[in-house]
Amino acid sequence: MEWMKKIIVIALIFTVLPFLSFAAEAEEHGEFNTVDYIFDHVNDSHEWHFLSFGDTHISIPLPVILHSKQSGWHIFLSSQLHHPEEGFPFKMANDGPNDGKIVELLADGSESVPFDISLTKTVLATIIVSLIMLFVLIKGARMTRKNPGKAPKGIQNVVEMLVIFVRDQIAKPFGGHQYKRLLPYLLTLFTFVLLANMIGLILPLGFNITGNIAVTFVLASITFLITTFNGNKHYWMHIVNPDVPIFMKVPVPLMPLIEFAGIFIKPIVLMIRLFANMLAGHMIISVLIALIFLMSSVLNPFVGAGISIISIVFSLFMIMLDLLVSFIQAYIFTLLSAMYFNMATDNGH
Amino acid sequence: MFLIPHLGTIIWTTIIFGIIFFILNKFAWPVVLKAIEDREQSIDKALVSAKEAEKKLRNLKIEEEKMIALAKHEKEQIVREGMDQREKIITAAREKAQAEADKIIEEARRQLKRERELALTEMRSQIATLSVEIASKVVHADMEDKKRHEKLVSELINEVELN
Repeated sequence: MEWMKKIIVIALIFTVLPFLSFAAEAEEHGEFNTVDYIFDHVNDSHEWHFLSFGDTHISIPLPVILHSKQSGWHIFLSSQLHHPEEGFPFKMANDGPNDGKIVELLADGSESVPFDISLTKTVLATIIVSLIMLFVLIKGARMTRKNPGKAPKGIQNVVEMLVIFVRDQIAKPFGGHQYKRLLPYLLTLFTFVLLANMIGLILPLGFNITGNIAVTFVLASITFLITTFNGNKHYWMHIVNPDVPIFMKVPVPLMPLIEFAGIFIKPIVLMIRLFANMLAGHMIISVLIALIFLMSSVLNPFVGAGISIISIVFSLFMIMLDLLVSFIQAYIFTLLSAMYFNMATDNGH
Repeated sequence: MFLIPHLGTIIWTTIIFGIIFFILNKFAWPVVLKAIEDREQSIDKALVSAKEAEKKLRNLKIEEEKMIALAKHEKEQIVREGMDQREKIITAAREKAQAEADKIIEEARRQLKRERELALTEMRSQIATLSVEIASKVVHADMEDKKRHEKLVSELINEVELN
């Protein structure tokens, strides 16, 4: 039981600490702003923020990369946005139509939004996840190569378990007869989504990779492209001339239209499902913790302290639930990708 | 604002995902997949050969049992044949001995018969001679005395008896 106590203490620290920091930030502007607090946590940012004590912020500034039509490429650290030098043209817009974006102040006094390809927190998190993936998987593969015909051990076990799971539970039963072609993509996809989901649960890191719609957009787009470009005659015939009663096709091509829309709806649903699930998980935890500060701010700190016990218990529960959701969402995303591929390559029944 | 995908993040994610897919597809997945497939095949093969070995062993056992049964049967047959042989030999010996004995007895009987016939012939001839002698003596004594005559006859008879 000793180790369990330790785990609970560590989990508590990890749960509360980052929220304290965000709370401190949110309170800077006077009253505690719940909406800002929650969205600050789930949104992407140009710095990697850990903790704040009053005015002291512990954060790593990340590089901002901009391309402005007027002045070309700019690369600088995001810390410059907070403490700009004399004549620095960029600033973070805090309100107006460009809220949350970096804007450039032009010579004539107007603002323009440059093309922002910054290495944001989400991008950094994606890079970290990718490095972990590469390290673990290549090491596992090397171990596999080194001792053939022996029982696997260590990292090799993890890698093989992952590969066998994706191959036997997803690719083989749902990927159709050409599943071997898709297997590398499914494996990469599953590993990436699972790891990205899980790293988001380590709250002090403040990462929210799969809760960012741009990331899920990319993943769903890849699935969409693979499906569309592998679609065989049967697949397209099914869309143009589906096997339904004739009045569904003539004179109004109702079913073909629905099927055609389906081509795009499928990846969009894929994108939104993963994004919404992960975002919701993060938001619920944020809301639960925000409750503490809201109570402290609106009523008094003692009520906040009382609420904190309930909030922490509930957030711990939510984190456990999110652990499950992380796995399920990775599984579903990969499974549906395999099924769409199967639909596109199936030769008919 | 979090509902609109940010173009910069899209570009970065595409690049990063592309790179890791490329690297993993080259260095990780084929190696692991091949290793797993090889292992599965070797396990399958081992299972099949184990089953075959088991089958062979079972066949061997059956054959062994068959051979034992056959040997037992042969042994019994040999024993039985031996007994028959013995019986036959004994019977034959007995029959032969019987025949021999019969032959000997027959011979003896024949010998005896011949002896007897010979003896009878001898006796007959002697009785004839004796009779002639007695007759001649009786005739001779009759001539002298009656008393002597009788005495002579009895003497002669005694003589015959002695002979």
